[in-house]
Amino acid sequence: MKRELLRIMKMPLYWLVIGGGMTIRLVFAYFDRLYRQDSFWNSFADFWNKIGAFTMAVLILVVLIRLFSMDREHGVQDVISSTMLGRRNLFLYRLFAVVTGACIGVSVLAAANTILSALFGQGIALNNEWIMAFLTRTGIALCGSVGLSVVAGAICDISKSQPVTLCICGIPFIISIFVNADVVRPFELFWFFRYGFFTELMRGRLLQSMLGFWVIWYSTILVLALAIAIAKRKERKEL
Amino acid sequence: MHLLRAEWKKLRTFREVWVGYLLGFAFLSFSIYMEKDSSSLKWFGVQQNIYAYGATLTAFLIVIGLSHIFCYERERNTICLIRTAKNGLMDSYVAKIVLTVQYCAFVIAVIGILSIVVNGYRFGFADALGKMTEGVYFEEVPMSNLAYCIVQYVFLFLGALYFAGFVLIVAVIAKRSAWVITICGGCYIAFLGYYYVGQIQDNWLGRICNFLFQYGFSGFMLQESYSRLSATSVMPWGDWEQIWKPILFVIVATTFEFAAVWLLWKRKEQR
Repeated sequence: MKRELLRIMKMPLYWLVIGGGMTIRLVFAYFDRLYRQDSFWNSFADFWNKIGAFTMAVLILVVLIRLFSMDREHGVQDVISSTMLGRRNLFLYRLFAVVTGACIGVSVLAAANTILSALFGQGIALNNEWIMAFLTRTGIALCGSVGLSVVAGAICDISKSQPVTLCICGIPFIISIFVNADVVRPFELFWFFRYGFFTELMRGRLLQSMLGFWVIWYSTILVLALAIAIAKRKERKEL
Repeated sequence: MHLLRAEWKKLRTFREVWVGYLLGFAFLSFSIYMEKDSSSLKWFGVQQNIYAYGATLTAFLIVIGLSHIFCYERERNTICLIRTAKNGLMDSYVAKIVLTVQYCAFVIAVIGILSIVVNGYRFGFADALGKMTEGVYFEEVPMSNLAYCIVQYVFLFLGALYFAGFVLIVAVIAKRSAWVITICGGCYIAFLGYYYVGQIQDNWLGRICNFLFQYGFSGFMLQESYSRLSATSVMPWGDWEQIWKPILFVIVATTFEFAAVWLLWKRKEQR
């Protein structure tokens, strides 16, 4: 488990994606400081709405879940799955490593956003409400990121293909960004796209209406993805 | 010919291609179904389909389908084997480029035929050969409704090749299909977002974005660049007489892209 986590931490792309996200935030913070001082701290609190959510989505779908398709890419899938701990245990270790990687990613992004905002926001009046709003949204984004990494990891393990996972998990994420919340009604197709694929949570927003339904929905998705992935891992050995 | 057949066979083994086809077909069916309310627009409505869903669906299928073909040999470590064969690099490059052209033609033919046939079936083909009276990008086009629809899909094909060239360049550089999908898909979505909401910005950043959109692949896929580059200074629409300009531009740009792919493909990896 520790080795899998270290493998993630040693990936240059992991830090490159986080660095890319923070560079964009730096540019925005600089321009906010110059031209939009009245909404500077509002942008700080709203970090997860766009930059943070996108960075985390790229981090999970492009970097973290590669752990599950690596064996197949290198042609060692059959050998690994024939070992004693190479099936369910390895899957769970990797899942834990991916979830931990996502949590570290959220923490680093939140810390970097705070530091950047503190640096550029010197002299601009700060309201305590914004700090509380940012902390609350960070917590919600953390839940969303953990959920997406579990589901994406399970799908990647089932399909053994990162591009397939990118299609299945990335498209609902993108569609969700484009769907106008005022236009969709409950139980419509786009309503599910808007709220049903972790994007809303990753953007730091709580699902306010029909909370009970969404708890059941997300629990079902998570349990189903995990159950299928574990069942598939138990299939007959090839070697 | 054998190589080309092998490339097609290889393409069929990529799992993401089948998932892409499935999602693409669902999206196309949904889009055509949603078009039922705009049947009153008749052929004018069909002509708008390209930027309603045709271009985006084409871009999606190109990114999913072509992101892997130049990464496959490096992923499987067979690139050294290709290098040892006589003309191995050149032959495989030609096969991959022909596959790209055929794949783009296939995708656009499916979307175009389905769109024209389903919509034509809804309101009838009676006016299909009638003279085109209304258009968004060109004031007057001397051809029938159906012919203009087909011409638009040919324009989309040229734009798709332009985009495919970009995908191949990124694929040769990035060498990993997940990154190619993210970078190329992200670029297309960014330009699509700019096309819908960003064009009101009139500062230096807006002008750079406008330039990139106008001369980039998305402008040609969304048909906007064909009218912009053929427009004379007085007219807000494109001038049909000047349509050769954007066509020439897109062909030259695509040729440069394919040449760049060759230069990147044949370079030796530094170890």
